[in-house]
Amino acid sequence: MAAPESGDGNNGAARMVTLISSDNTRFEVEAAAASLSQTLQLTILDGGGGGGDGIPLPNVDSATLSKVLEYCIKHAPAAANGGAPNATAVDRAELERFDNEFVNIDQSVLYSLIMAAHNLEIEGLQSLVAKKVADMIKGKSPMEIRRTLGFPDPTPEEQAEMNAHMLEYGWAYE
Amino acid sequence: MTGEVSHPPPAKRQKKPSTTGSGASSLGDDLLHEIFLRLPSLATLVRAAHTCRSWRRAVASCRAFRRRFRATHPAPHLGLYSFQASAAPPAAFPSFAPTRFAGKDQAAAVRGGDFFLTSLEERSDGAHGWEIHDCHGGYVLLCNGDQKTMCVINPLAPRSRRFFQFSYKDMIDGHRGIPVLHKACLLLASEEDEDPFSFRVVRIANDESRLRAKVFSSDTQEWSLYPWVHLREEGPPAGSGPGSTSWLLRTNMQANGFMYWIYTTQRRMVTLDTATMSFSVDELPICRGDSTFSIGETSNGESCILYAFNDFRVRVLPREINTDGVQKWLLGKSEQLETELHRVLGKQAMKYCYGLQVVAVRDGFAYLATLNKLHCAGAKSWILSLSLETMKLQDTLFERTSQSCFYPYVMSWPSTLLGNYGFFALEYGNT
Repeated sequence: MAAPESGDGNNGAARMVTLISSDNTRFEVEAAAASLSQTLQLTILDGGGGGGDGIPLPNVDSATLSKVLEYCIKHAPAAANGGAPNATAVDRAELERFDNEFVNIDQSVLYSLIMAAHNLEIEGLQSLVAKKVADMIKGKSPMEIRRTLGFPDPTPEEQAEMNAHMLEYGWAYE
Repeated sequence: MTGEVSHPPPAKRQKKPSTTGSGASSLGDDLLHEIFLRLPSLATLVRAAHTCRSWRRAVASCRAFRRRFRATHPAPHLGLYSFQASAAPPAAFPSFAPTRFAGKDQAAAVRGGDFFLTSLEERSDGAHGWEIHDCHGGYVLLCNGDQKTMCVINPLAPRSRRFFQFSYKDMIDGHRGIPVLHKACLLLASEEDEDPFSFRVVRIANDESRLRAKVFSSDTQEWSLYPWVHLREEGPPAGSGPGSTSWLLRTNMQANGFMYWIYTTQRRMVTLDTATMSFSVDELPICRGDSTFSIGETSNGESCILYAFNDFRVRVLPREINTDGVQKWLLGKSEQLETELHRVLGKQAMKYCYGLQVVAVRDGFAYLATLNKLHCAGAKSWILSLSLETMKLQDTLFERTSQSCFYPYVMSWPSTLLGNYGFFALEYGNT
């Protein structure tokens, strides 16, 4: 599955690395895309992830990792241009369209994604998902937020604390 | 070819998982902070943080997060208090006009708070109203019309209001000529101190040539009286005889722990350093008959004077304190606002308008009132807010109904999100 690395340097075909999810699925991806992760970048610079071995990611399952890599592959070319100062407006609009579509997903996936982005230190992805969750929160009362995000019902202690706060800062709960 | 190892090395620096479990309620504090930093305003954060225990703790337990949030989110301006001092019979409460187009969460704050201050009704004797004296950092300072009871209240947390007694009799003891009592000023602990329950109230009185202060501290629950200080050095303003007490204007201003009162001649001002309680007299950097000004803070918290001139020009003068501790006002940026005014007011309203007057400067915003040509009876006057950072007028307008005093209301952090205060202190240590 893993492509053999070109023996002397990275001049030929793009260098590939293998990532292994927590459920032991192997993903082969261009090193440039995987390097969007600050965490992986160091390992890859050290020559890890090539050849037959892969980089195990014990905190990321395969469903999440495939989504993370979808993001990285899309964003890698722009990132390679150093924030893409010479990117055309069309390219930027296309990335923006991709980002909007990308986070239009089930909430549980969003949370797995943001945790993975945090663990792998992929700043752009973490920021994108954080913004999406922030947008889901704004303009809502605490109870509406609980409903929107599917929180379990408050425990009695939690309810007692909320009642005390409500007496003082009633407006925040309306 | 490398890669002969049998056990693949785990990724270096791979962080521990930020949390276990799934769902939004189990996100770790780091991730919650990242999400919260992307909320549009403090009003949104307050509602979000009260969603559940762990979310409130994520804010209350982390001062560094609050600092980051403050640095990227200006304090929300919820509206404008006004009070017509000369009205008879006196109004029961100051008037409040909410900011328009402020977003759902700020609207919820205004809707759910006691901005009409009617919760003070139970303490009113019916004969006297509550007069607004000052408004800072989310708190309103009021004095009952009988001049005996004062109150500090946060309309967003009206139950934790504080009442205290005031007497002016000892203040004017030993006065020469007619004594004048000025409005009280509210001084809060600095934003960095974050103590929502600590405040001081400073009130000054002047006679024909001297000035003295009386200070209430929320910590001691007592007033301290300071001695008379001789300050009047200018001749009396034209038209006033000897013994006149009108040498000091009644408006008070404050910025960064300094308070300011202006001479009626508009050439000088009295400065009170509230850290040392010492008075000094300074020349005003600009004194022109066609200008008005006010003192407050820029968006990064520096003291500044904002001048407005009759030709729609405004100028910011930031304060610099030299090594000897002497303050100096520098000539800062200037901006012609006529085009901006046209944009916000429209052609029709601009026809009547000949100039701008500064009514207040607060937390990076200046409040400017339009001045109308005298012959245009019925033309409305507006109050607009100007961002001192961008020098753009905001689209929020208030109609100016009378020659009132104006007090912008800026929302503050609730004690529930500040960690270690009073009833809402976190029960167990560092989380």
